[in-house]
Amino acid sequence: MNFKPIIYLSIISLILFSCDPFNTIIKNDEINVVVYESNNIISPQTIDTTLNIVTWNIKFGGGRIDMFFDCHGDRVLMTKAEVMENMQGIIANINHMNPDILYLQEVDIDAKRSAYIDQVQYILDNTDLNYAVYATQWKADYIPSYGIGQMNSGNAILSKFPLNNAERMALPLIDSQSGLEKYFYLRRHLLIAETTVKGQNITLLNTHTSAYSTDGTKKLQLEKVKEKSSELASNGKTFILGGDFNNLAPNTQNYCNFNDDVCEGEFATQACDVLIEELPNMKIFIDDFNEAISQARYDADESKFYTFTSDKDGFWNRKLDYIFTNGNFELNSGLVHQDVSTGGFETMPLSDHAPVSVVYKLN
Amino acid sequence: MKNTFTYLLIFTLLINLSYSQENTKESSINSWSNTTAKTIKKGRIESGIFAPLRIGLKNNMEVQVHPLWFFVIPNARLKKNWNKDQTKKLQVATEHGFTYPTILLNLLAKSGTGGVLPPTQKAPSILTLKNKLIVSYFYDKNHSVSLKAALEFNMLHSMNNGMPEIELLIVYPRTAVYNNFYTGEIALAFEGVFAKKIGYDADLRMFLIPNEKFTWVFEWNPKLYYNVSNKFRIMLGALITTGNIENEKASYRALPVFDLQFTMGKKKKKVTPKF
Repeated sequence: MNFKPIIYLSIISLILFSCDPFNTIIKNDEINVVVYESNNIISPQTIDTTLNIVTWNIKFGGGRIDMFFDCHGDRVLMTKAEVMENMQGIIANINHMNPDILYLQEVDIDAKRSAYIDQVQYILDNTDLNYAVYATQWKADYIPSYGIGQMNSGNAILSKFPLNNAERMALPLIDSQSGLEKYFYLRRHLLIAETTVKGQNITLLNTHTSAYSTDGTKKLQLEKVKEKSSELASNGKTFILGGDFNNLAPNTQNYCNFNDDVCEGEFATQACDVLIEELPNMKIFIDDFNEAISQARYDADESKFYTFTSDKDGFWNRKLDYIFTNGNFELNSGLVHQDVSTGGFETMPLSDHAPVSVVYKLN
Repeated sequence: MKNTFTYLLIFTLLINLSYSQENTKESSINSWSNTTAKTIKKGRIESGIFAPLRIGLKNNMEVQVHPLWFFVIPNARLKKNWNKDQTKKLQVATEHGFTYPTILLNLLAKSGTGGVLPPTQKAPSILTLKNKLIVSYFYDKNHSVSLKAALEFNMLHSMNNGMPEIELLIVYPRTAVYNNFYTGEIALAFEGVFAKKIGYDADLRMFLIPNEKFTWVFEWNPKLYYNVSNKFRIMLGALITTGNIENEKASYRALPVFDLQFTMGKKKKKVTPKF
């Protein structure tokens, strides 16, 4: 019996059959950051001594379409027309806020749910922002769950100024998930880039930590982000850290039984005892760095600084989004763009998160 | 990528050429069903874990169904050999089949794991009819080359409700007809035996989907069969595919294929080949 054909076939099979058939794994040794440039570079007008910093979770251009994961609806996929309409609202508000540096979370660049629109490029091409870096946090050629299909969603830093040395720092994965669930699930990270404005080098950090972890993974992720921020600070570098931390602020009075909580099971909000236990999590940042919304302002009237609700017919009911620096923000310049009266724009229809902005003082 | 495929093609052709010189006697493997224009003998019944159930209705006609899948995707296929003498070198057959995948698609439209399609998206009624022409040339006692051409029609295309497509190589060419009126397929297939117990077939297949982009998908499907007996065989192979499917990120995909196949029914009488 001649075994040669079997041997040849086996070798070819070994080469061709990958262990990552749906291409979800983000390897550390690969280039994991996509670098973007606007099709229409607009040189910033006279650079002030300040920078306008904004962070915003844009819910992949989903606007207020009730998706399956927030339990107000059952939608999974959007049409191109729906995404474009939502993106135009997002663009209008970005142009209204006119950020110099914009941190985005939940931005899709190639996902079936958002009609495969590259939202980073679309925002760059329709705003005064010129440069961007993007790192994926959820990637799969096909997710066989809820019919989600192809996914490429993540975080991005957009800037009027050139960005350099971008990298994706992986954060811990949720341990309690099964192997299959973990394979297709989100891979959280800290997106890092540098920019130089008026001769000052600033490290920009953008993150989106776990929403549904029940095994302490979110705390580990926050600690890793803090560790990196502290490392930069101790090396004499200035950083601005922003993002959706999915964690309530310390001293929050309204910390559970939210009026928009309608989910049960895998998407349910954590129990009250877990949420109260998580309240001090953000102290590691607040104690060591300056925050856009100081703890004192938050304690005085927390409802002014709520940044999230899943209910389009309700109002913002909790704070999950933050901006920190080891440099300086202009005093009391931090603002949550909740509506026309607090930000000059009706943001409720645009995403389940409100944008947060702050004025950063250059040295 | 191009080089990989070139090597694979050369590999297939070399196996064909080298082994076609060595074998002179027809093997008992030839009683098994194959992808040529020949049909299995009357009364012979074959099946496999993944292979369809094949029943020889007449000496020139067989029927095929996937019994495991039948209740979620009703299907059947009839293959008829049009030669009067199945020992001639040139053989012609046609295949005619239908599928009704709506039940399966609705089972796959679900929440949570296994939800290949969104739970809100119910599949319309889909009835596909596939007609295939197979022309085989047996250039050697144990080796053949076949040319195949098929058209698959979605007879209820007017009921299409914009169900999402599965834009993955391997899956897309087999499901594209659900969102189109028809799709086409052409194939060149090599088949034969090169040892007493070893058989092979290797299809080079091209799917053509007349959508906006005019999608093509190329597949190479080499398989080896180890014939344990005339009643049981093991199949091992690969499906390697590339194409220009919109939104498919992979330039190619590869899938190992494996099956255990067995026969039932009457014992086959030994047939002396005429050529």
